[in-house]
Amino acid sequence: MFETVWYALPVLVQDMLVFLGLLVPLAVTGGICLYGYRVWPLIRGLLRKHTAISATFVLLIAAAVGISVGLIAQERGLREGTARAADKFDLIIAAPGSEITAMLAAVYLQPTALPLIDGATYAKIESHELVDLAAPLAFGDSWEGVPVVGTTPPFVDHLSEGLRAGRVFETMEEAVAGANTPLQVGDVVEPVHGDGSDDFSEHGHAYTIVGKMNRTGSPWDNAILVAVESVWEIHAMPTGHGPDWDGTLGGPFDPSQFAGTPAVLVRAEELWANYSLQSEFNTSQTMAFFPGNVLAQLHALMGDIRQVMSVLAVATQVLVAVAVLAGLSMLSRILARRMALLRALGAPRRFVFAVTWTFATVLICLGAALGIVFGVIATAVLSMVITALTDILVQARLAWPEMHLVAGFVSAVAVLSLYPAYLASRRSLLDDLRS
Amino acid sequence: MRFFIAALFSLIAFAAFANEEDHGHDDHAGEAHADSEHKATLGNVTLLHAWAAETEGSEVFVYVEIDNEGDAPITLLGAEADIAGAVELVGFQSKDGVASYAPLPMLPIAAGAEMVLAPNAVAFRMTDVTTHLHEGDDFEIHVVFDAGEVAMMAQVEPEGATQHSHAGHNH
Repeated sequence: MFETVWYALPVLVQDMLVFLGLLVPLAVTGGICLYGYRVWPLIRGLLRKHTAISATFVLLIAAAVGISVGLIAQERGLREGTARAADKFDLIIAAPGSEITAMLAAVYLQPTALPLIDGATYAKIESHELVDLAAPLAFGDSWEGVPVVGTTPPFVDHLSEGLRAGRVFETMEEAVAGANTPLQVGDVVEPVHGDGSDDFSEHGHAYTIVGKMNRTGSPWDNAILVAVESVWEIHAMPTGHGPDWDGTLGGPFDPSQFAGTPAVLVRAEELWANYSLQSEFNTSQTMAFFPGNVLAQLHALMGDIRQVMSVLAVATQVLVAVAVLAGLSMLSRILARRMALLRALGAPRRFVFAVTWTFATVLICLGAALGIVFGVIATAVLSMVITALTDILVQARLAWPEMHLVAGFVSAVAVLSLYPAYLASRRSLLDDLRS
Repeated sequence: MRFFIAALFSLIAFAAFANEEDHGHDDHAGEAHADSEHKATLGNVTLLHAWAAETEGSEVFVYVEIDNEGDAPITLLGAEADIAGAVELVGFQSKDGVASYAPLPMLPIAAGAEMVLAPNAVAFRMTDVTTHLHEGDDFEIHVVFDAGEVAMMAQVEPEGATQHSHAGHNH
């Protein structure tokens, strides 16, 4: 019954209810501790009197909360960023081997030696009735460290969804630049074989940049796309077309003139058609896979890493909480004389208990709130750094899981704060007055 | 820059290495089994190792390996199960970095092709499941094709399982 009602609720409502549920221990404890008392004027006075030590506690808690929520949000952002980078790669067909290796090469442009698909196999893919787009990819060259990838004009349209500037290449001497490359329309580049880091050789083939892609959030933003025919030609291979070719780039290719491709991007309009194609092309000659599925499997395997991170985050917070509670116990000694005076004036032990607990809880709440701000800043900075280093657009944001973590932390520490409050209320009145 | 991408993926690839199967049609090249309780046939179509993971929830995903050994394509249309209020054929998809399952109206399986329903791929999604499924339980599921319907037993694997416990065995 409860399960049925719960799953019928919108996810946002579920998240809010979990958040509020996690704060229930704080509310109940506070309600019981503060029932019948007005402690706020005294708390404000204590905060003013002990500003430095209060600020130290708040910053300590904020740092712990900020690091914890920042780490968890970053992990999720990275996971979503890598998946988003693969969004445009519906189905990859490659020669049998490792899906991960093929995915690294085709989606993330990692230099890898892959076996090639021959012309007959490519023709079967290209001519399949369910295939709306088939694009061979050709890797291996670079310009000043920027990968130069051979493909077809429709693939550029698919990847970029329209260009930021210029047009798609129409000849073997033209190229389209990724959004993050320093190239503009009209620039001329001359690629070298390999990544250009060592033992490179000039091809003596220049490309003029005729278009610039929109940002895709993937390593393709830092690539140069050229006609696959030109890549084959400058490597002294057939261009994929027969002698009567009119110069129009892209398919259909002549199987007998097809130089081979390590990976083919395949797209069908309907999801079911993509899965049907995957099944059909998982053969002894080809393997077909969805990068999104491979990533999901990897992320599932990374679940253990994620759990370790969460445990570390909670452990960090618990350690800080213990340190804070130890500090509060010491603070209760600093406050001891004031509390003793209160009691001498007639305040009951429970009032001292309530003041000490409230003081601790206010520091914890302020620290947690500031920690969320720290987390937002840390997440934004880390996302920018990772995006700059990897070309994978990472947009990590704090979300409900982090809010739940903070709420749970605040409630748990608030309950634990009952102990130093109890100790403060049990101190000897005469000893404290004499001290 | 590439170093960082390589480092990122080498970490997860290393974790995945042991589990990743190289492709090719050697999925059943392992130990042979004599039993056929995990197998069903419909003409030239063989269904093997239907399974679901243990769950307390009312939504259960069911997976099965379908091998079309005939010389004509067949179309998978869906499934039915007495323990569920509804069963639909769904496919995993990732859009804007967010993973989800979308209903599939049908799924053609070419002649000679194998379709593996598996986590993060294609599955039967049962909803309103009235029975809590525990490891070792089994339940009947009717798989529906354009050419007919076939009943088979699905086995409940441990929570979080990624494949049938007999995956890789011949039958």
